[in-house]
Amino acid sequence: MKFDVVEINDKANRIVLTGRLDSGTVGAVETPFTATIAASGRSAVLDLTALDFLSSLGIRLLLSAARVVSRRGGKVVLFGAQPMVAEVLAAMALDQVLPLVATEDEALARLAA
Amino acid sequence: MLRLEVPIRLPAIAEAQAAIEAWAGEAGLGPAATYRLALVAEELLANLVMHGRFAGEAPAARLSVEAEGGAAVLVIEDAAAPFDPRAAARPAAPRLDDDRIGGMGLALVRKMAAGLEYGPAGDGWNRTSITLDAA
Repeated sequence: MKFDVVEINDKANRIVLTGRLDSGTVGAVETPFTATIAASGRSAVLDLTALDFLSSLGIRLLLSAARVVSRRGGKVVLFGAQPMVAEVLAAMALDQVLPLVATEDEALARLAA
Repeated sequence: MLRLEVPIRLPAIAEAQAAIEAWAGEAGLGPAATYRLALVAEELLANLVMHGRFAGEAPAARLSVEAEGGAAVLVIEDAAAPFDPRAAARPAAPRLDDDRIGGMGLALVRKMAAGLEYGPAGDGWNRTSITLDAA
């Protein structure tokens, strides 16, 4: 699991998640991921196109990151999930807290909405 | 058929998943079925690691996976205090102002499973059996 942060503008970052976000990786990525998101003070669009596997432990990490951003008045929007990752997100009814859209443009539009 | 002994600790889950995914490839399961199998195994094993109550040191769980007709059957046997995943409370939809996010793993298991059985396995052990569509 790795994540890369790309600045989009002074209000939003794109965070690219690559690999698996599950019991094998959450422990190592949790602290740097949440710290990076919190320190930026920006909203974030999470690029899931290269995320191969997501479990409930991974969702908990995404939720706690979204919680930190929300406390600062920002938003987190997910985009580009592979079909099974999208199925897992849909099964958990996360639309209100971690909306998932198809493309980065749609994700940025959701941030502005 | 794949049989594994999985120690009750988080790092062992990734190894079990790798073995399950390799088995699924050989058994001809598609990517969706393989994902669901690895996911259900993780959720059940992670629950044992994080919430299982054991008398003394936890013995490794016994896991098996088998292809059966158009389905894959995952069986996990554990020595934790009995916990019926079918009876677990349904979690509320997650909210950003509520830190209590429990029960998501079992909710996922129930969503993914075509069938879920639970009962005693003898010697105080429990047996959870999950049927998944192999398509």
